Order: sequence, then C-alpha cells, then structure tokens
Amino acid sequence: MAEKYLALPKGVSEKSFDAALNEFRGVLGEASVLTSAQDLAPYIKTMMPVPDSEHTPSAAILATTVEQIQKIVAICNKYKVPIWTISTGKNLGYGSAAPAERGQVVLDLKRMNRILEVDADLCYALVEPGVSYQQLYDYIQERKLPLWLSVPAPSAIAGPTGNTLDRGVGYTPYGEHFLNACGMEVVLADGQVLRTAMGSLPKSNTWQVFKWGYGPYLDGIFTQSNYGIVTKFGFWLQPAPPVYKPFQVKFPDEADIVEIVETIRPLRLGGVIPNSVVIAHALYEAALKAKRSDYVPGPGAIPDEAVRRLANDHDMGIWNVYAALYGTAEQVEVNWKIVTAAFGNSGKAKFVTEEEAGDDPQFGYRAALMRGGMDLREFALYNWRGGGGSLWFAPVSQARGSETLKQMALAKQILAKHGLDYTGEFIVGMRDMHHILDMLYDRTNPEQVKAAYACFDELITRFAAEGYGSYRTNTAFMDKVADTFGPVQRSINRTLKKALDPNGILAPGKSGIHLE
Amino acid sequence: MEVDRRTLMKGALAGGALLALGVPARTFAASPPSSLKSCLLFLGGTLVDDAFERGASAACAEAGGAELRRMKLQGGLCAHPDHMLALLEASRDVRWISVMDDADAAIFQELARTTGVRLLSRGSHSCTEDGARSLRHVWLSASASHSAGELLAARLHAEPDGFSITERFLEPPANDDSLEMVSLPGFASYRSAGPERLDMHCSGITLAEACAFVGWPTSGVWSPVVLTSPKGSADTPHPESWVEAVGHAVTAAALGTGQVARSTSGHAFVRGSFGSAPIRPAGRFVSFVMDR
Repeated sequence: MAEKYLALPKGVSEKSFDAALNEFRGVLGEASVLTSAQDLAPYIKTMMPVPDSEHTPSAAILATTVEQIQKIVAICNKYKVPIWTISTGKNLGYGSAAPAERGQVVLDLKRMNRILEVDADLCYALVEPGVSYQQLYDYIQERKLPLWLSVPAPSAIAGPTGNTLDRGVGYTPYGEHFLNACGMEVVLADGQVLRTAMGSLPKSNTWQVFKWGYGPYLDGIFTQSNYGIVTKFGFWLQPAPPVYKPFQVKFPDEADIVEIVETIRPLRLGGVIPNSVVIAHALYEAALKAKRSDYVPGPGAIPDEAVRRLANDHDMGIWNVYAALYGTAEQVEVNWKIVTAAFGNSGKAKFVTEEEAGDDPQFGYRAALMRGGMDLREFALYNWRGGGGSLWFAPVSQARGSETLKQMALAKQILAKHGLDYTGEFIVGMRDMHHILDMLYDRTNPEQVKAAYACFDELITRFAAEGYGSYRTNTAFMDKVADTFGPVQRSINRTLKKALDPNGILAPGKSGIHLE
Repeated sequence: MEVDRRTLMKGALAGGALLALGVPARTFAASPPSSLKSCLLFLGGTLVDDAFERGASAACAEAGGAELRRMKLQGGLCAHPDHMLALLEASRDVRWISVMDDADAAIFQELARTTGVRLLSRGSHSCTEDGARSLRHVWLSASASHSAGELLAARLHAEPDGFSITERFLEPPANDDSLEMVSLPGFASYRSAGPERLDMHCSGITLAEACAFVGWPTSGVWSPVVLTSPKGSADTPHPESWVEAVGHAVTAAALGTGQVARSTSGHAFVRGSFGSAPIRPAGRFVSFVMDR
C-alpha cells in the first residue's frame, strides 16, 4: 500500500496525524485542510540549494480567525504537531512558503486579510497577516488618502506583517520597517491572545501610536522567532510629501564605494537624505538590460573586465546610488543643493534625475520603490543566471566606506571561488548598512547546487569570523547563522521557547530556535 | 473594510497587458478530470513562445483535436502582477499550461499559490553552452500520472544530441512491483533500492556518470532492470526544435495522454551526445501545468 501523506511531522505517527487532521477539518472545514500532492506542490518549491524533500510539508491549513487559530494550537499541543506559519508566504530567496523542516504543517494565513483600520490623521494602519502591500495600496488609492507605504522589493505580492516580522526593509524614509511597527496581536502556543504595548488596555486608542507600552518591550521577541502567531499588525505610514525627487548617482569604479558611503553617511545622519539609500552594483541590475551569456560564454564568475564592458554598453555605473528627497519644494531645493555639492567633490559622480532617466527601467523601478509603489522589476535578477536558484546573503556593515569595500571584496572573492557572481547592493540605514547579496545559481545543475551550498556556507563562516553577522537568512541555514551569534543568545532563545511553547509546536527551527 | 479588488482588477484586465488568442475553449478529447471544462495555453511573452505553442498544438491534434485557448502576456509579469492575479482569481475549472522565463516564473508561482491553484507540474528547461550535455530538463510533478518526462524523452530520442531529463514525483510511489517501468530502446535501466525508489535510464554514458550528472546518489544502491519490450520511439515525429518537443510533452501530459501509473518516486533519462557540440539554440524557460 502506498504511503498516505507526502511527509509526516517528526515524531508523529500516521494514526495521530490522521486524528489531528480530522480535528483541523472540524475547525476549518474540509476545503481548508490540504494534503494532496497537487495542493501542497505550490508550497514546496524553494530556491535553496537543498532538496525540496527537506522542506516538504505534511499538510497546509488555512485559517481566517483568531478563534480558529486558538483551536488549531490546542490541537497541535494535543498531538504534538508542529506548524509553520506564513502570512502571504512571499519570502523569496529566504525559503519561500516551505516549512523549515520536513513534515511541518503550513499554517497559511493568506485568507486572514482584513484591513482593520487606516488612520489618515495619525498615519497608521492595522491589518491582518494576509493583507498584501498591493491590497493596502489599492485601499489607500481608492480612498485618495495622502499616505505612502514602504515596501520591500517583492512589493505587490508581499505583505507588511510577514516582511516586518522577518525584519525586512524598504526604500523610503520609513524603510526600516520594524522601527515603524507599532503594536501587534499574538496568539501564543497556549492559546492566550496578547496585544502588545498599549494594546493590552481594553479601551486603548494608543495601540498604534506609542510603541513601547509599559514594562519590557515584547514586540521584538515576536520578530524572526517562533514564540507566537501574529494575528494583527500595526505600523506607521508616511504622510505623502508635497514633492518627491528621486535621483540616481553613477560611479565608474568599485573602489568608489568608499567615497560614496563617506558622502552619504552625514547626509543620512543629518536628515538631508531621509530614505534608505541603495548603492547597487551594476550586476544587481544587469538582467534588466543585458544577458549574461553575452558577456560570459562559459562557467565561472563573470570577470571584472566583462562587468565594466556591460556597464559601459548599457550606460550603467559600476555603482548606482538611488536616493530621494521628500518635502516641500523649498526643502527639496535646499537639500538638492546640499546633495549635489556633497557628491560633486571628486568629479566622479554622474547624476541622473527623473526627467533625464526617461523610461530607463533601472531608474524606473527604483523610483517606484522609493515612493512605496508596486514594482517587481527587481526580480529580473532571476533571469541573470536562470535556473531558479537564489539565496540572499545579508550581513550588516558599518556605514563606513572602508568597511563596505572590505565586505564587498571578501564577498566577491568567495563567490568567484565557487564560480558565482557578485550581485550585491548596500541599503544605507543611519549608522549601518544592509549588505544584500543575491547568490544566483542554476538550481537544475547539480554542480552549481553543490557550489552554491558551499559558497553560502563559506560566506556565513568567513564573514562571521570578521565580526560581520547576518541580519536575516533562509530556512536551510538558520542554525548555522544562529551559531555565529554564540551560545548565550541561543541559550536565552531556548529558555524563552521552553517557557512560551513547551511542546515546541510553533515553527520549530525558526532562526535556529529549538526546544533542545 | 475590505476593498473590492476583483472589481478593481477586472478593470485593469482591460488595460491590454494580456492578449487573448485562438479559439474558444473546448473540452479535452482525452481523459480530463471531470471538473475541468477547458485548457488554457498561457504564453509568457518569451522568445520560446512560438515554438512551445507549435508543440502544444501538435499534442492537441494528436489528442483528437482538442483545441487550446491561448493567452499571451505582454510586457512581462513583473510589470503587471495585479493583472495576472486578477486573471488567476477569475479562472475557474481551467487547466493552465504556462511557459515563461525564470523571473516571471518565480512571481507566477507565488501568485498561483495565493489563489489556491493545484500545481500538477513545474519544469525547468534549458539549453546552455556550459558543456556537451547541456540540454537539461528538471521537473517536479505532483504525481507520476502527470509525468511529461518520458514523453519528452521519446521525442528527443529521435535526435542525435545528448540530453538529461529528471523528474521527481511528490506522491509516494505505489508499492506495486507489477507496475510497468517505461524506458526507451537503447537505454539501460536501473532502479534504486534505497528509501526513495528512483529509476535511471541511461544511454551512451555509464550509470555513475548519469547519476553524477543529475545529482543522484552514485554508489551502491542501483540494480539493473531488464525490460523485455521498451516502448519504441521509431515512429515518433522529429520535433523541429527542443522547445517544440517540450511544448508537446507538457501539453500531452496536461491533456492526459500517455498517463501510466508508476511505482517510482522519480526517474531520469540521460543520454550522452553522439555528435560533437550540440547545435541547438541556447535558451531557458519554465513550464507549469496547474488547475484553477
């Protein structure tokens, strides 16, 4: 007789799983409990250099209310069935919608998608986890509210809850997403419902306006963790500025990154440039305009000479800085003078304004993201190498030119050793930079899969050895990254896990957090 | 309050991002699932669209004249994900056969999952210039009954150049050794004895080389299988191009032709090249078959 399920949760017998599924069906209805191969296939495919079988779910269940989720966790506790919660599940390059471990049940909250409140005066929104950025954008546009979102690169298809809980970033002045989160509702493993910060008071009207509440700030422990299931999420929205002026600055050499960062940092700290600036290497955007095969005929990393030729052919800088000014016409005019003077010192910078860019797709998609618009053209990246392999390597650097140059050089060296290209960019915070590197490889080619795994492993190891930690990682490497932060942090995370989820039913393994 | 996105998106569909082609829907001529009413060929606006469509049309003709509704995306899916989402949401009882590039495929798969599709197969197809055996097809299929791999192998077998086809089935294999293993003339067949039951068929290349090429375990667990009457491909028409061959195989599998139960978790067909370098044009695309 054939096996009944694609996979079983670790330590759970088929008989127990049958019983758990029947109870899930009792709560959710037959149509919301998925076990067939065709229904689960969309959750399985990832972009990671590991077999899909390592992340195959046993089932997917779709919930829409807090009460359903409370009943689900009760069932999970009864049968010791682990669940992996996704909101929109668009964690592209970080594990997508697949669970961390084979056999976990995916709790899919995509249908839990009510926009609960948008306040145009205080500029905040409160949403359920299944709300996508596109949905919220449409809501705002339809009502002509003077509010802007801040979105990550998957913009339209991703959602604010999932992105912020994984501490993702955007490109507007509100681009540090968790900094702009304010209040959440969480279903705990024991079924209790917590409203964080000011939300704990029954009649509170400050839940989405004051982050801290009273006592320990609990919101943070529900990000990049497995301590609870977020069912409502509040965050701040940017008031639409009267004037928005995006611009690009091109630099011709890799070594220019030092000058770029040293120029930008005081402008960011001083509030002249308020948004999360992007410094993109030419290869990050090359797929928008060029084919890799036109510059690299065979295996191996693309040589520097070919990158320079590509950049020259397509009027790209080796580094392409994207930033914007926001405010009144007077403010923008003053800040524009400051910016152009600052970048103009060396004579190497080449400015491009929106008017000058015309219909250049490279400028176009960046300008869209910097105003919180919906644009997915960044994912042309996936055509650069082809084959569906992508892993984001995301170490953090100081906002200091020497540091960014050092990180870039180290990354390039490791990638080239494994035959892979440096497709990276820096997203500039205030004092930090997210160094985001898309490790692209052909997932259909076993040699490249092996190289990609070894490369990513080496990137984590060697960057950590230099003191550079990753701010986020994919589900295949969570334990390794957790190890780089040392045993004390892991021990504390484990202690919290035991206290909040003694049966280990919520997303075991997330960020390397296990019961044991 | 929930925005009525369907109304919004249906308006957006009129914006011209999608181009409907071809004739109205017809039911399958072969054995379709009873709930499905029509089949849609969705072309992602890539350079392979025409060749894929030719292969798909040939498969329909062979399946008794089933006709495909066609739709072509203009401008790329990344530029219009909302249009794509609206189209998927409005789709009912349709079997989609889609072809697109890697970037659009990544987004398409995410949109499809959002709307609750049933994914029958996802294939990655490439002809690169990296090496002699550079025609590579890798499928993840829900079950062996949706397999396109051997259909493609039969068509490519008529050509002299090398290829590799790897197909994994999500459904556990039927535990029935009497079920037929399908191979092709000239291929040596092997079955693995490990926890995963895999079938390897190789020609002009050793078992070890074939396993290494597709990333399967090379040591210890393979047993040769002698097939008394492997299915012939002598009468299989030569496809004009490898893309056309893929279009044919994917569509034939989608239409339900050639479906046979398998007692395997996956199979691979690997043939070494008999000529020098392949003369096929380079290219890469992704295919989907799904029900919505």
